[in-house]
Amino acid sequence: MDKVLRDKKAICVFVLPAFLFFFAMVIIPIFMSGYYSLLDWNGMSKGIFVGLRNYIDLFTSYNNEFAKSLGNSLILAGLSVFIQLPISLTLALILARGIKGEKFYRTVYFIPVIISTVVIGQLWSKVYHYEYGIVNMFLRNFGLENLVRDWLGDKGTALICVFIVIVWQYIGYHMLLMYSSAKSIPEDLYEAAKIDGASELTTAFKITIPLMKPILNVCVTYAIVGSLKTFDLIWVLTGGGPLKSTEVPSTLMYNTIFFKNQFGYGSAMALFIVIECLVLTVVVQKIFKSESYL
Amino acid sequence: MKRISKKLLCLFAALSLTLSIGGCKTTDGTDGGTTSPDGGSKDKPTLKIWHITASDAEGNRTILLNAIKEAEEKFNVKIEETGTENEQYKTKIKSAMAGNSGPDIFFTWAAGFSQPFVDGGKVLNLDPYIGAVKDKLLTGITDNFTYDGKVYGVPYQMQVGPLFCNTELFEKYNVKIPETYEELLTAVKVFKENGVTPLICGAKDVWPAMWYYDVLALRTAGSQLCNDALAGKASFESQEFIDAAKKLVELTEAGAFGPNTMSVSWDNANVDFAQGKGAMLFNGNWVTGNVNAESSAVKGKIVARKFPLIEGGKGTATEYFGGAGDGYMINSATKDPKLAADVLFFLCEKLAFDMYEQNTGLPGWNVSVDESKINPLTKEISDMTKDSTGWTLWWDVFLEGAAADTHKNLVVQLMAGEITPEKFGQEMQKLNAK
Repeated sequence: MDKVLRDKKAICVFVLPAFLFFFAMVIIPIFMSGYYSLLDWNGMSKGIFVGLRNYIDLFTSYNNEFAKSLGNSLILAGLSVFIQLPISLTLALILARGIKGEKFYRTVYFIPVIISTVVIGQLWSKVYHYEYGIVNMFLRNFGLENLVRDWLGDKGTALICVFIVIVWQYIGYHMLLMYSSAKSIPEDLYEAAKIDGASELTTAFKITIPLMKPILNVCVTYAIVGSLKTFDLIWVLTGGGPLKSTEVPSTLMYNTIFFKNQFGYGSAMALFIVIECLVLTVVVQKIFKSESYL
Repeated sequence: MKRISKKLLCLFAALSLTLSIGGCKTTDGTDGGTTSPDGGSKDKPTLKIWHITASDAEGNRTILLNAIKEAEEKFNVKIEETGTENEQYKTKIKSAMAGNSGPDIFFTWAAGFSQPFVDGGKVLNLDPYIGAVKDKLLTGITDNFTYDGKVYGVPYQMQVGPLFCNTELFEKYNVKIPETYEELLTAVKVFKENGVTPLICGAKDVWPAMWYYDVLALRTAGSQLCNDALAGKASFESQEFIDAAKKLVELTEAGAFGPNTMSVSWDNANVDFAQGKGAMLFNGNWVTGNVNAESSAVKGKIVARKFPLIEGGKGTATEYFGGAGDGYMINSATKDPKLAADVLFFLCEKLAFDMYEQNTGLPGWNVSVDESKINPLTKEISDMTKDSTGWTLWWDVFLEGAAADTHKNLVVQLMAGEITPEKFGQEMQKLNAK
């Protein structure tokens, strides 16, 4: 068996089925979208070749709605990296130091991740509900009636309300990744630190976090890419509204293709999202490589 | 020797796996589009039908399934039905038709929604077959399915938007059911003061908000001008359309749609109305189903009235917002067009009859049913529209994809005070300029 595994031909043969599947399901559609993005096409009749017109339209036409949606997704990426991940990291470090009820808290924090996004969306739309939502109930009961508002229906608050939910949901996910990484650090390192008289905080910053660098890299990449292509929760909570204030590139793309019948223009958005994610992944990798310590 | 055979075995296993995947793919590719004769006896042709009556909770599902069963016996065919929920269906049918994997007969929306199907040559021209049933159909009912003078689809029902009023609330606060716009404004004020949402809307889904603008435009401009403007023959910048926009702004500013309409979906708005939380609702006749449901708190307390008239407007009381907005079409790739057309006509007539008799819709065909069985609310709507002199279809069905989306979003922007009525008119006119 060992010999088979070292045989290049055998490797090819074994990789082939999965590769073909991947090729047909992922690679080909991406290239197809690339082709569609060069067309002015309603999805039914014959498309007209328009070159890079759709890509230019992304940033010049339709009231700049794509640029705005892109801005929204970048805000989310920022929130994820600078708010969500630090919270996850703090929770992971605390849990990994073996506090009482470690397993219980680990499970509790992870629950939002395993619940379906649609359920989460319904749950939070009740939380934000104008009449019986817990937020407004709280405000009314404490005499803060001037703050009561239609959280998801108000252009000024809808975006941040939706982002709070997204950030909240995936805290547990990143926490679990970081937690398992922190747990795998050998105990003797901690013992040595203790003998040297390092406090818990110093240990965390000098030993645990630097050793978690690979997983932090993964988390940052996931957080950024996940934010750029986020769709489901926004779709359930606001559908991109009110007045397009919570539109992100993927909801806009969906609307463009399936409600406006602009397959070419929508495909340009799709391809833009793919390229944007790839580029940012590479950038994150570069940053982590160049950092000699963290 | 042993090693070689091992290698060969691996190779063979991998190869068969690859081939089996490839095999699946080819069958997938040829399966759609044409009707496969497999399944069922060989001499029976098979027809695939797609529709949106997906939920078992809907009374219409039993009606449809019965009609299909009858058609199967009558025409000696096997009919495979697939039901998909409304919003999902819109996506599904578009991609299926684009990929030539659509069913033989399918549910669709009239005018703009189906325009791409017609332009792309994906649907069958029914002119050669429709002659036999032409006088059974209500006059003008296929207008919205007529493209370039050719009929491509057949409706089974007609739809209309009445103003539903909760009589219990009207009596409680001693308000007159509005017949003019001024009376509507008064009613809005009284209800608002008493903490009742005057007009239920559901603007999160955008289209329910559009209904209010469209009917106001019907009252200020009349159906003729509306239809002309929608067809690009008149300007949206004319005073009538700007007046309608002003009225909508006035209503919104008077608090007519409640404090949180922007975050309420149509489904939730519908529930709110059935729970007696709102005084009035302007939407389609399908609301009756919800009002008459077991769980409804307003059963028997709702009346359907004409939308109030606007003084000085060109619209009259006999003009209605509605028409035949949906129906069925036939895939141009179907194997036996004559058979598919016959089944289609049979199904539509049967649906029209049964749905009217069971109080879930207004018929688009000339059907005679035992009137005593009809629910009072449905009958009220049916009788109300008998004097009709003009119709305007929902604008989002009339306009095509991107234009429909723009129109709906402009109405919401108008309601939110983001644009002025004049700007609204200009932006609408840009749709015609394209």
